[in-house]
Amino acid sequence: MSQASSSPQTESTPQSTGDWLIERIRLYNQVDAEEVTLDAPLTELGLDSIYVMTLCGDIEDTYGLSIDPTFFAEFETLGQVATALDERIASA
Amino acid sequence: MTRTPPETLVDALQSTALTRGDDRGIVFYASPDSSDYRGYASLDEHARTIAQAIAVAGYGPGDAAVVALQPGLAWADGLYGALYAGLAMVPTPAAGPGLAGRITGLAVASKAAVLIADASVVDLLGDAADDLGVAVLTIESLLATGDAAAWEKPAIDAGSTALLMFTSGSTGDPKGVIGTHGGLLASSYVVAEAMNFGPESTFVGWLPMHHAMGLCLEVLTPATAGVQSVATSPEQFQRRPLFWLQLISDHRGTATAAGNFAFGLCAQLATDEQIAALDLSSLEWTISGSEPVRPETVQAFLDRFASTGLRSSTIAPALGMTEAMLITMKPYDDDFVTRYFDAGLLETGELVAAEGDGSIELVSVGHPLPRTTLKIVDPDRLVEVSDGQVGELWISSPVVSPGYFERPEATAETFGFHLAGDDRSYMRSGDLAATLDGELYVTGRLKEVIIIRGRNIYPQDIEAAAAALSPALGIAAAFELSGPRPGVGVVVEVDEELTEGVTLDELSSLVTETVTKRFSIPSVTVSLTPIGSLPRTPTGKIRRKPTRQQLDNAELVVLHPAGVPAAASASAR
Repeated sequence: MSQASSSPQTESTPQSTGDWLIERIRLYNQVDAEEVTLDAPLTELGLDSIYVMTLCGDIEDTYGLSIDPTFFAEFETLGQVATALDERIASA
Repeated sequence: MTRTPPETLVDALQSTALTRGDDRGIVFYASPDSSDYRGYASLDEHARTIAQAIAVAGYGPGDAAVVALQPGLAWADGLYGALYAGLAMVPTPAAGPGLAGRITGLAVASKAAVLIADASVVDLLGDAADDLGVAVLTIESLLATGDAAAWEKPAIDAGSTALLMFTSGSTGDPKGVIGTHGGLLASSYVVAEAMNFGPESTFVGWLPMHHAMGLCLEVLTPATAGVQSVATSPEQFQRRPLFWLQLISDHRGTATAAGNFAFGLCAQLATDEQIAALDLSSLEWTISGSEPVRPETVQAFLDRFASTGLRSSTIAPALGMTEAMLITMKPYDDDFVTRYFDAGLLETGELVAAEGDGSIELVSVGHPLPRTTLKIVDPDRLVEVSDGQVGELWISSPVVSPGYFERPEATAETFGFHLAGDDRSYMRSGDLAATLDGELYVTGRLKEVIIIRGRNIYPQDIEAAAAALSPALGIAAAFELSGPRPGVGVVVEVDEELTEGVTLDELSSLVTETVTKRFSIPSVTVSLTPIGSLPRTPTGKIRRKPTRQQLDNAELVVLHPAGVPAAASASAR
C-alpha cells in the first residue's frame, strides 16, 4: 500500500499531446500498436468515421477543445495533429 | 364515456397528451451538458401550431413534405406537425455533402410539394435553397406564425400515408417505403406490447431520427404508448460511446436499442472509473438489431459491465426492416439463444446442429412479435418448408407496409403473396432464414446467395476467407457470374503497401486457389482493387450487385489482372 502515495507525481508531469494521441488510438485497437506513431500517415491508423468521432470526443473531454472530424483533413500525420492541438491549447 | 381507439398517429398523440399531459415526453441531449424536454401535451400543441401554419401555406392531405432537420426535438415537432397537417413526411439527414441534391432527388421521387427544414439547414443550403424545386418552410417560422387553437384535424384515416422512407436500395434507384397511419400505429402498439411498456418505462437511444427505426422507437412508439423517451444523436454517441450507458443509468432506462458494433465499442472504450459510476440494473431490454449479433461481442459487453447490475437476460437480438419495422425479438427474461450448425449442410439449405470443425455459430433473432405471422417459404416453389429448412422469410402483420410509393412492379415483387390454405397476405423479406425449436435464424440474403450446382454459397463466407489470406487483403465482394460456366467473381481490396514483397499476381492466385478449394467452385475469377474502391452502403456494408455492375462496365479500378476487366476476361475464356 505504500507506493499508492506516490501516484500524485504523475499529475505533475503531464503527458505530451502526441503521446496521449498514440495511447488513445492504440486503445481503439484498429491497427497493430507499433503502427501507431507520430510519423504514421493518418489514413493508416484505422480511424474510420466512428473512431474519428470518438477521438473528437476524447480530445474535447481531455483538453476542452471542440473539434470536428473535418479538423483532421488538414493533416497528414499524427505528429502534425499533435502540434496543431498544442497550438489550440495554448491559445484557448 | 367510451373513447374509440385511435385510428391515426394524430389521434394517438392527442390521446397521450390527454392522459399523460407533460408528465411524460421526450428528453433530447444535444450534448452531455445540454438537454431539452418536450412533454407530450407540449408536443401536441407544437404539432397543432405547425400544422395550422402548414395548412395556411396551402398544404394538406395528399401532399408530401421532405423534412431535413438537425438532430433534436425539432424532429418530433416536424414529424407530428406534418402529420397533424395531413402530410406524408419524407425524412432525410440534414448534413453531409450533396444535401441540396439529395433533397431535390427525394422531392422528385416522393412528389413532395414542400421542404420543412430548420434555419440552420436553410443556411447550409445557401443559394441552393432557391433551386430545390419545392417551397421551403422553416420550422421556426411555422412555430412562430401558427395558431394551435385554430388547428383543424385533417381528413385522414388509417390508410393515409404518414411516412415515405426511402431505402438506400440500388444505385440511383431509391424506393419509398409507404408507412401508413394504421401500420405505424400498429407497429407502435406491437413494440410497446412486446416490451411490456408501462407508465414507468423509459426508452433510451441515439438512433438517427431520419431513419425508420429511430423514428419508430424514439418518437412514435413512446408518444403512442405515453412512455418517456431519452434520446441523443448518433454523433454524440460516437464522440462518447459511454454517454449512451450514462443516460440509461441516470434516467433509469428500461429499454434501449443499438447495433452490435455499439456494444463492442462500449466494452472497448469504457474505463474502470466510468463503469464504477454506472447502474444498468434498470434495463429490461437491451435490443441488438440492424446487423448480425456476434456472441463474442455480447459476451465482452456483459463481462465488462458485469458490475453495473446489467442482466444477461436483457440482451435481446431482434429483426427489423423498413418495410415492417420490428418483427421478431427475444422473449422477455429469457437468455438469448445461440447454437452451432453444420456449415456444409447449411450450404445445401439445412439447419442441423453440429459441433467442432466445420460448424458455424448463429444467434437466434427470437420470436415473432404480437400479431405477426412468419413463414419460411421455398422461394422458387412458393410453398412453406419444414423446420430446419432454409427458405425465404415471409411476414404477415398489420405492421407491414402496403408497398413502395408509385412503384407497382417493385411492390408486386415483394408484397401481397399468398400461401395455399392461408388467407393472410405476406411480404417477401428477401432474407434467408430457418426455424428450429421455435427459434428463428437468419442465414443470409436471398438475392446475393450464390447457387452453384444446387448448393447455396454465402458470399460473406467467401469474402471473409479471402480477406483472411493476407494483411494486404481487405474487404471483398463475391457474386455469381453469369455465363455458360457456373462461376464466382471475387473482388478484393488490396493495400499495396502491406504486400510484404508478395506480388499481386501471387495474391490473386492465392485467393483463386483458396476459394476454389474451400468452396468447391468450378471457376473463380479474382480481381484486386485499391482500398476504398468497392461500393459500400452508408453503414459500410459491401454492395455486391453494384460491385459486379461496375466491374462489368469497366468502372472499377482493377489493379490485377492489369487493364482487363475481370468479368470480360472470364466470359472470353
